[in-house]
Formats: sequence, structure tokens, C-alpha cells
Amino acid sequence: MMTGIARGGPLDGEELISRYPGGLLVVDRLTGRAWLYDWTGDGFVLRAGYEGGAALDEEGRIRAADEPDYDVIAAPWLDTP
Amino acid sequence: MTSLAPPTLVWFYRQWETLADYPSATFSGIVPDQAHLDRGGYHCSIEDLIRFGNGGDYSNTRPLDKAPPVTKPNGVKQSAAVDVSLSRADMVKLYGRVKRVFDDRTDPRRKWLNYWNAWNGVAGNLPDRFNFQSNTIGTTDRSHEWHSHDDHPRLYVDLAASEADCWTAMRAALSVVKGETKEQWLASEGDDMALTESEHYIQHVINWRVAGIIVMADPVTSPAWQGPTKLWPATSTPNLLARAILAGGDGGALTPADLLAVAAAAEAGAEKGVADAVPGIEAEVRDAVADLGEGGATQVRADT
Repeated sequence: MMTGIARGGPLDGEELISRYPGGLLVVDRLTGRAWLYDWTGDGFVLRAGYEGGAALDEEGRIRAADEPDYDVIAAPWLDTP
Repeated sequence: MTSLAPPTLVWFYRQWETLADYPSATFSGIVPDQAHLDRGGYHCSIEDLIRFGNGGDYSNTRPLDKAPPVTKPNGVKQSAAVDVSLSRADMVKLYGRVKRVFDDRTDPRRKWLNYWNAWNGVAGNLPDRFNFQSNTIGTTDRSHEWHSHDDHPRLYVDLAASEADCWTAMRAALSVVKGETKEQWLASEGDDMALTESEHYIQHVINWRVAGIIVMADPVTSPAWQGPTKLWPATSTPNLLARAILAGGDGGALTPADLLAVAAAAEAGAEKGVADAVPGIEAEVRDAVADLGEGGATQVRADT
């Protein structure tokens, strides 16, 4: 597993864990936004162009979950109503 | 790689993602990655376990995890685990619901579950790994702080073996996720799931074997119908009685007593819709039930 600190985006400064070498796709299903963090070898860096989040591609996030490149995680700020 | 995502597991995560009390729920995987393939476990199909040198893996040793009763070619290709990512708040909610069912040994939903990994949200605590079949709790790695993993006895993701059981297993898992009480589950599903794993296994084997006896006792040449798992030669076709057993009884819906009753009816030629009476079938079925009941129990005891 890859464990490191995130740089940039909504999870800046947070410790993240990815099971896959590419990094993490953070998914906010409520707002339909997603943020892509790339693993750099010692941490995660928000990919350029994702600063405000990208429109969530439903097929893309399912495909990402099925493939072994990027881990897919729920946006941790989403709370139970 | 030949690990497929069973339709029932896909249904399960899609249903979970629609639940209002899990706003964060996000599908995170069914089929195995390379790490899964290397170390085994329920994300891997039986075929992939064998292919990657893990044929004796813990997920392929218990009676309901092996072929048979898991079918070839379908069941051995199925993944049996699903990961769903959750925020911490949602994970804590799930943890409480899973633990409540785990702690009640009389809850009939437990039969359909295998391992469930979840976290109680306490920093420094490793996530728990609930084993519903052996009634033990272990711990698992930190990735389960943000993703739930649940898996199921492999027979219950094998639609070719028992479609009814597979869907019941998924409804049971979803019921746990929803936080339904045991009473709510029983009210919706009835109390026909009180069989133990061993009893269920025995019944399953009996049903298949008896259906096979009936099929071969009354072969009708036709290449069109080989049964759902192609267990029989292409040139045999079950009569209507066997077809009824396969459609309605496989997986445990028919008890040995039920089978004897339909066999008796077939013997007499009295069963409406049965194409042909089957001379001698009642005695054959009685012998098979008696033999397999005892032998099946012995095998299960040896395996567990």
C-alpha cells in the first residue's frame, strides 16, 4: 500500500492510503465532483486541472474501481445527514 | 484473468450507493488486482486462485467455497467479495450495524455472510475483520478504515448453482447495511433459513444428485438442454420432474422429504405434467437420499 501526505486540493495535508500505484480518485457523489491525486513515490499530488474538482464521470469511476491503477475512495467530508 | 463480477454483487453495491443514510458510499472494486491474485482471498475466483498457485487458499477450503457444490464452468469464475468506500461517519454507522448482526448468533442473516471488514472510527484501532462462519473477530489493514469489504460463501455468488440463494445472500447483506433488525428481516424473508451450513450443503448435494438420477433414468435425446451447469451430456434431457427440481429445488429449497414425495409421484405417473412415469425411481431416490445424507454429513464433518 502507498501511504503519504496529500498536496493540493480538498485533502491538502491529509494522510492518504492507496492500494494501487497510480494514486487515488476521490469521489464526491453528492456534488458529482472528483479529484485525482497521483502517487509520487513519497506522497500524493493533485493533478493539474483538478483544483476545483472535475465533473464526475460515472462510467470512468466504475472503470477505475475495476482496474488496478488508481484506488477509488469516497470523499471523506461527506457525513451522514 | 478469469474473475468475473457476479450480477448479484453489482446489484448490491448499486443498491448501497442509493441509500440516503450513506451519502458517501462509492463502489471501490470486486475483481482482483495483482496483490489479490498474489495472496488469494475472495476477490479471486477459484480459477484464479489455482492459476496463481493459491488453490489451497483459505477461501477455497470450506464446503460452500469449493467445486462442487460450486459449479463448473460458471461458479469457479466468480469473484465473491465487494469493496465499498465510505467516509468515516458512514463507516462508523456501518460498523455498528455489522457488529450488531455479528453479536446475535441467532440472526439468520449470518448464514449468508462470510468475512466483513469495517472500522469503528477510533484512531489507532485497526479495522475489525468479522468472520461470520467461525464466529471470530480479527483485525485487518488500514485501508479498511475507508473501505468496507464483505465477501460471501462462493456458492452464494454462483447463479448457476442456485439463483435463489444468491439473491437471498445479497438481500441479507443489504439488510445489514440498512441496519434492519432481525425481526424486520424475518418479516420480509420468512424463517426458512435456519439450516446450518452443513445441513445446507448436504441438502444441496442431495438435490443435485437426485436430479441427476432422474435425468439419467429418463434420457430424451436432445442437444438443446444440458442443464444450467452442463453437468450432463448434451444428448440427455431431463424430464419435466427433473427440470422442476432444478428450477425450484436446487440449492436447498426442496428437502429430502420433498424429493421423496415427488419421486413417489413420478413413480406412480401421477404428477401432472411429468412426461413419463419413471419405473424404479422412488427406490433410487430413497437410496440416494439415505446414502448421501449420511455420506454428506461425514464429508462436512471432515472438512470443518
